Amino acid sequence: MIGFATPWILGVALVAALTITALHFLSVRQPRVMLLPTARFVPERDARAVARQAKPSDLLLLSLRVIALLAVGGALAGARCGASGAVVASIIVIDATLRADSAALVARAVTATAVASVAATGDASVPTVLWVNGVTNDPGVAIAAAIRESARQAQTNPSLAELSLAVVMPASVRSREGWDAWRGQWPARIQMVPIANAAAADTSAPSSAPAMVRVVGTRAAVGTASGTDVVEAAFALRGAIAARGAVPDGAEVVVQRTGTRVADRAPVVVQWPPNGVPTGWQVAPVMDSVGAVTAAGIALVAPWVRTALPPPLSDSVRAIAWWSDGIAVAVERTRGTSCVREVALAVAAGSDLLLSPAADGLLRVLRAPCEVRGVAAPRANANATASNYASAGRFREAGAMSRATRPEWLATALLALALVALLAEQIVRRGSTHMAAGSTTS
Amino acid sequence: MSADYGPLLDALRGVRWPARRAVAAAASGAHRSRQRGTAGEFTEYRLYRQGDDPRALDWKLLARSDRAFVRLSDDRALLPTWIVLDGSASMDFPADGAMSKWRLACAVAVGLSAVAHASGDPVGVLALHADGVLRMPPRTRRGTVREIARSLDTLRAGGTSALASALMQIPVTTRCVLVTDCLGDHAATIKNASVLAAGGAMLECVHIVAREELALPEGIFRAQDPEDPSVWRVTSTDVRTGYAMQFEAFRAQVRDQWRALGAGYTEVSTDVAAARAVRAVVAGLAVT
Repeated sequence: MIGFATPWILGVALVAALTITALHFLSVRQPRVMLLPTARFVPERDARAVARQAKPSDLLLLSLRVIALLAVGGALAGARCGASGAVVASIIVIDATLRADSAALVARAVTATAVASVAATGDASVPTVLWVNGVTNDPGVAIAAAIRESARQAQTNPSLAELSLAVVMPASVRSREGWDAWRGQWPARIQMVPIANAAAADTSAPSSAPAMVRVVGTRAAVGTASGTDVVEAAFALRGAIAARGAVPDGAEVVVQRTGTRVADRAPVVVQWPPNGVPTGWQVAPVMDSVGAVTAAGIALVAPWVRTALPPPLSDSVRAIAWWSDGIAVAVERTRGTSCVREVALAVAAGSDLLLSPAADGLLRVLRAPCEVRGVAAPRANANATASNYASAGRFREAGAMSRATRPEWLATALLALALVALLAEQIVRRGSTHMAAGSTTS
Repeated sequence: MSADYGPLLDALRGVRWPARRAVAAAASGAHRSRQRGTAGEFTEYRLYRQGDDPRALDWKLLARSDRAFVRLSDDRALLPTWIVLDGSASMDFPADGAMSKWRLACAVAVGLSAVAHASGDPVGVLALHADGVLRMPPRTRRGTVREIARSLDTLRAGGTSALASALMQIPVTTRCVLVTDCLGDHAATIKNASVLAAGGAMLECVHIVAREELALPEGIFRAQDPEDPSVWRVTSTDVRTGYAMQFEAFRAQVRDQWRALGAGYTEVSTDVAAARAVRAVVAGLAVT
């Protein structure tokens, strides 16, 4: 199948070819020469009143010119042949935190998109699964990621005509502001694949209200003077520190920097050992580097070192922050009406990473109330008959300026064809000119 | 002789071509001579006048009547015939037709040669053709017609007409037949022909007209004069009538000009058989 990177250029060439064809129909050609000894007795009249033709003149020349024009147009339009991928593509967006349940979720989403694809086009295409962080925080990121992926696919696959989007949607999300903002950017209906196990969804706290935070065990853990601990400094920077040391019991959040658990009556206890290995976590057999930590939809990019692996997730143990590859870096254990949060993130002493705005997401999650449910997730469009497919051309146009066009063999072949056609046109035109001259002199 | 002329010569067998008036003194031939001499065929007596040849006196009558009479008789004379062929490019029309003006002119020339030769007249040909001029002086010997036919078969029409200058090579005591389409140097030809006519030559004009010239073809063409490429016109339906009128007027003018010289004039179309055209020329009749 032949596709074009910029079809409008081919349209221009087509218009030019039609114009040439019309000129061949409308061209005013000189009448045929006839030798007549008594020509002098023909009354003189305007020599420009010549014959019109019902058929196009010089069919061979016309064919060569049209071929040359279309070949040049096709080459300039970026003709590509045999591009991989189907005409219709499907994109499935799943929250990266749901990798634990990926098999079942992906299977359900693929089934849903395949059914829709077969119903719409009669052909089931292999969908692209995108793992995106923060879908449960605000599913708007799913649309944004899908648009980026659509633009990429539209650029790399010229034959791609339509795209469908399916989002694996939790029952509740933290916010729908991003969704409402991005929804208009996807020019079609978005298919929702609900998550049956709502507990598997990310329920990290979105609360932006400052909580009372007490950091304990700083001196024993770090061995430095008070006020130099990076975690304490990070909370203090955000105005969440009510007091240090002598804070009365009942503070909303207690951050324990020591490696061992300390009994506390605070509703939220955060265990954040400096070595990055909370109690109950498995020390990583091989420490590897990870590029970012994501929480509450905000990524904190840094050359992190993963020192521990999370415990198995369950209804009582759920992830609240993740490494960039989807593995939990912080979990929340439900303990009656309170909860304990464990953070396996080793921050070097003196580092200012937690002071940056990118750390807001992580710190906000840690001081949020336990098990806060979000708002209801968006539902599928009420108009179920609306098309689920968006034109790939829209995404192709959006990304055309930022992508360099790679020359294809078909474009080269078309240019060669155009050159051959032009040379042949020259030869044929000269031949007909000589024939006309010969008939005139004979 | 070319086989093409066989039927033509058969059709013209027995046809004679008498001179339209008494010819000047010449060798004895079939035409009435303006000279009255002592030929065997007695015509009348005339009183002897001083200067008459005494040998022409009828001595017996003088003895009986004592009056001197001279016996008179009509002389018969030969009439050398020149056939001048116009082989210009305009005669090669229609080029793709069954009978072009040139081929008809050649056939008419061969036919007239045969008729004149059958009358005992010397026949010669002066043909202007694409490659030059063919000049065959008048002869009476056997095979002259065959030689003329063979020579004409090798010629082809082309070039521009130089009929006027060719006429100046024709003696005034001959019969000169011009086979032409009158489309070349016609004005000069008429002028030189008048000189010949004043000298006593008997002129005949065989005006060859192609059937395709009588009416313009349908359609729009760029009609171009084969002898002068600078002369061209665009044909169409609305000029057909004008063309026919102008061409008719031209032919009438040509006819009047030749007849004003005392010459014979016969218009021959290419759709007329050559034998019929020759008979019309010989009889001085119009071809219908």
